[in-house]
Amino acid sequence: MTHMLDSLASLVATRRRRIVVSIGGWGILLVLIALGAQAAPSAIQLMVTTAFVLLTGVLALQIFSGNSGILSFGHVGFVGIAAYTTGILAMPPVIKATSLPALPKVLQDLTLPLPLAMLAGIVVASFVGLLFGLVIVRLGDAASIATVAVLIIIHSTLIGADSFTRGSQTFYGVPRYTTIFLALGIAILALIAARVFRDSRLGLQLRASRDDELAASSSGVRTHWSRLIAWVLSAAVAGAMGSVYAGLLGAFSPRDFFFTLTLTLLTMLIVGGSGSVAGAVVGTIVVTIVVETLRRVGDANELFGLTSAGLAIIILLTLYLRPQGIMGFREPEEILAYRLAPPSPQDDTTTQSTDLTPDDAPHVLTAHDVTKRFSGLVALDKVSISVDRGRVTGLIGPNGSGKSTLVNCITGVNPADQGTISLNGRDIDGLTTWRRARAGLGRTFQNIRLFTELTVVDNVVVGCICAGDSVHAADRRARLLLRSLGVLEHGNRLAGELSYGNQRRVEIARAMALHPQVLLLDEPAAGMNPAESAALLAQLNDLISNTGIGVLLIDHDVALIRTACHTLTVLDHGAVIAQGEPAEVLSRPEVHDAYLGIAGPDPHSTAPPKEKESHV
Amino acid sequence: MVLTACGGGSTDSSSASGAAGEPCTVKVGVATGQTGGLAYVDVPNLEGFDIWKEEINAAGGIDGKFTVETIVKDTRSEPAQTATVAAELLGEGISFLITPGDADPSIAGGQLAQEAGVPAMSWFGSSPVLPLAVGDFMFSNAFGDNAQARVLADYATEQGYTTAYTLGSPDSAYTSNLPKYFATAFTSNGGTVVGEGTYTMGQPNFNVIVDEIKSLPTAPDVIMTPAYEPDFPTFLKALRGAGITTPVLGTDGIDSATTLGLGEVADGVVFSTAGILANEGDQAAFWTKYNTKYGKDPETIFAITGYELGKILEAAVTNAQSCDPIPIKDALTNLEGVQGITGPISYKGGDRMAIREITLVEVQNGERTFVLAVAPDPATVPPAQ
Repeated sequence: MTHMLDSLASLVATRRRRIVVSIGGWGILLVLIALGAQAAPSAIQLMVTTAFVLLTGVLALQIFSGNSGILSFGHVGFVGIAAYTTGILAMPPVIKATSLPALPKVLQDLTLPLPLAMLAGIVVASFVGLLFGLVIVRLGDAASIATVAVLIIIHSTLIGADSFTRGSQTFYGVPRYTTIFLALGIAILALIAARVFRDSRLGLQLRASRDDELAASSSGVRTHWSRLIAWVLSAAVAGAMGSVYAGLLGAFSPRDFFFTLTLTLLTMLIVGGSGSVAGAVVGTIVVTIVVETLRRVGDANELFGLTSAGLAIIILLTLYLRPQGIMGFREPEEILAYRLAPPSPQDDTTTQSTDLTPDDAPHVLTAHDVTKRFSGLVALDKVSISVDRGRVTGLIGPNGSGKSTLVNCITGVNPADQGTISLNGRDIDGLTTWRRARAGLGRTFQNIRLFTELTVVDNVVVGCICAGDSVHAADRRARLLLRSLGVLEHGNRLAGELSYGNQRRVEIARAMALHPQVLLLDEPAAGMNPAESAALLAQLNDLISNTGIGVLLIDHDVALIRTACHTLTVLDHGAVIAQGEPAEVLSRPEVHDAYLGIAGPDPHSTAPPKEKESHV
Repeated sequence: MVLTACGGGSTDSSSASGAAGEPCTVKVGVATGQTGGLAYVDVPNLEGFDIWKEEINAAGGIDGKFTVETIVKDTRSEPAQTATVAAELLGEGISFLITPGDADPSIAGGQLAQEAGVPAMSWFGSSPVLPLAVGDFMFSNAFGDNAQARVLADYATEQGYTTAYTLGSPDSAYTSNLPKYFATAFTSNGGTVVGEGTYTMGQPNFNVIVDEIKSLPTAPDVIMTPAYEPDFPTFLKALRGAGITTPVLGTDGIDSATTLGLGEVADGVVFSTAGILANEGDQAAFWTKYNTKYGKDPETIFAITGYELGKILEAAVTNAQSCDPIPIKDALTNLEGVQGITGPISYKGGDRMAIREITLVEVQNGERTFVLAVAPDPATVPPAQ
């Protein structure tokens, strides 16, 4: 038994093996279903063939919607484009003469071998996908609604291009070439595309942006780029569905690629769970079985609405009981890895190294005369602050004093109106958040922002990837980072499941994965007891001495600030009121008045007006 | 029983009789959109067909010896589902397949029937492309849209109209093709189409189109449009509101209570349809049977066409003296003058669309007034596009 578990554990121990296990496992299941259906009556064969075709479309949706979190209503348009393209190119000229008399002469005479015709369908769908994608990925929250427009635009275009499509009339004469094994082959290709993409550099980045777009860009994720690639890839897979759907139906019209089919595919994806490839497969199988069962019961008893009612009930049940779908966000092999194989610290003694330039410039981060206004309110007024290599700069100030605004200006989340910010001597003012992160600006958030539906390892892997690592190298380095912060044993758990303190450590590890020159820690000890915050401080000190990075530490915990910082800046009402050696600054009366002397304690602060005992 | 995947050979039907003329059971597979977008056609057709089935079985079967058995399966009005359902029905050894009242799903199901060598007939799919796209086993119980257009064009010519304006929409096969068929037929009668307008289905305002008609260099004698709800009422009100009194010809899409309820603006509108639904004359007996079985009056002419599909099958099986699919198909191809409720129905000499009477109706004071009923000669009908 133990032996079996061990071999099972080793089967899912690495990312590559999990991909192979997943594709192999689901692939074998699909092949078995196909072989079983082949021995069954032709109606069953046709039903299974249809299910494989739909599965291809569901996988296409999973690639984009599952990984980006943006529900797409537009992909059925790409299915349609590919179906028509393949149909036109696969149709014998003699049929074209009757069914498509207005087709341009070149296309009239052109009939491609089936694989080329299908490929052409996929290519055209991908190209059209790219054109729409350039717009869609920039839309943020409106993207999902905009995909409805994609569907409607493509639908109208298919109707309008009547010399190619016969307009709204039935397009007929497509050879019915889609056998069960062709549909199976395409579905397996889609499965491979979806599963490999999930764990690719872009797939991981996209999933990170799905969970938390701000944290993702602060970790160096190119959200728009990864969305675009996923969108085009999923348009290609939707095209693959179209190229087999054409040969399954033989005759169709634009309304067959409209809301009804969209809802069918989305139902399957939502029931199974859009967050995983397994969800797409399971959703397709479950919905098909339920529909087919209800349909037979309904037909036998002349209860014809039963299927629709049943579908509505499954969707409601899914949304009520398991909003993430039957399979949720994780693949079964990932859950297995978590259950059976906690990541072991690999026998590798290399420690975290940062490519620091020689110590010629002491200031690694400089913000000079930074000013930020919010419609008249001056949030920051000519604030200057610098962080030195291997040293900790503290930043304190009462609530509303401009600390968060300064952090947002430095990280590019909310760029400054005036002033310059330079990192390692390089001006980073014009750079986007993700570019600043990749340039060496790591950060944590006041209220922890992890990618909660990603594993602990993957949270850090995202950072490593953005620092330029391959996925394989990222897996190794992420483990080392997690080990150095003492949280490696939780590596295969979902980040959201960890305790507060451990989530903090994962967040720091993720920031460190960027090879940062500067680490920006926003209240890292918030919510920790003195012992925990002392332990965290010790880990930070190790990090700093091992890597020589500079740290900007924002905290309310005066004891922590006093112990940890080499220099301290105090902000009040958007201006620097004191700067210098911590003990000296803290003793100044104006600091005391502005910050420590306030009667009521800050509700978000752990710092009472009096200093806490510190044992560090 | 496993179906052969290709080839037009016959299926060894379990319901088939041994020798010709021996009593046997005609198994009818009904792939019908009981739910979804086609339910408005398919449901009443099946109701009518069921009345025929009960009636004929009560009489000992077709020709007193061929009993009728139906297997009904819902297609949810989806083409892929229609194909699956058709495959199941064909797997059960049916001799005759009924497909939904629209071209796409009928073609999807009909292709399988064609391969299996079983005749198929659409409830009331009126696109003349439907049988062409499938092959010689595919029929429709409907007259073609091209035939409907021919009747309208001939009527226009008889009225002395020489110029026409057509208004169509690319959004559906019905609304895009009927104006083209009409134009072909009207031109062949010597008429001239002086303008062709297009609209978007559901567009809120037809003023631009009305202005276009007003500013035509030659004012048309007649306006022909296959527009239906909500476009037809909107268009008609805008047209009459602008003071244009040109006669309007419509098609069976406006055969509804809405059109009759439009009031004065609809007076004089003439449209083509399968027949006038009225509890009188040849329909009276059907109304009684329908009311007895379903406890309500029929609401659409499609209940009557469903019953007529039964009469067509009855005639074909009687002529074939067999329950086998191939003889039934051959008999269907040669059917002539089957007595339906709305008039005689034929297939001989046509393109497997029903050659049946098309009725022209004029709206007067919110009532349908009979104008004429005619079955156009297939030779004069514009070719299917």
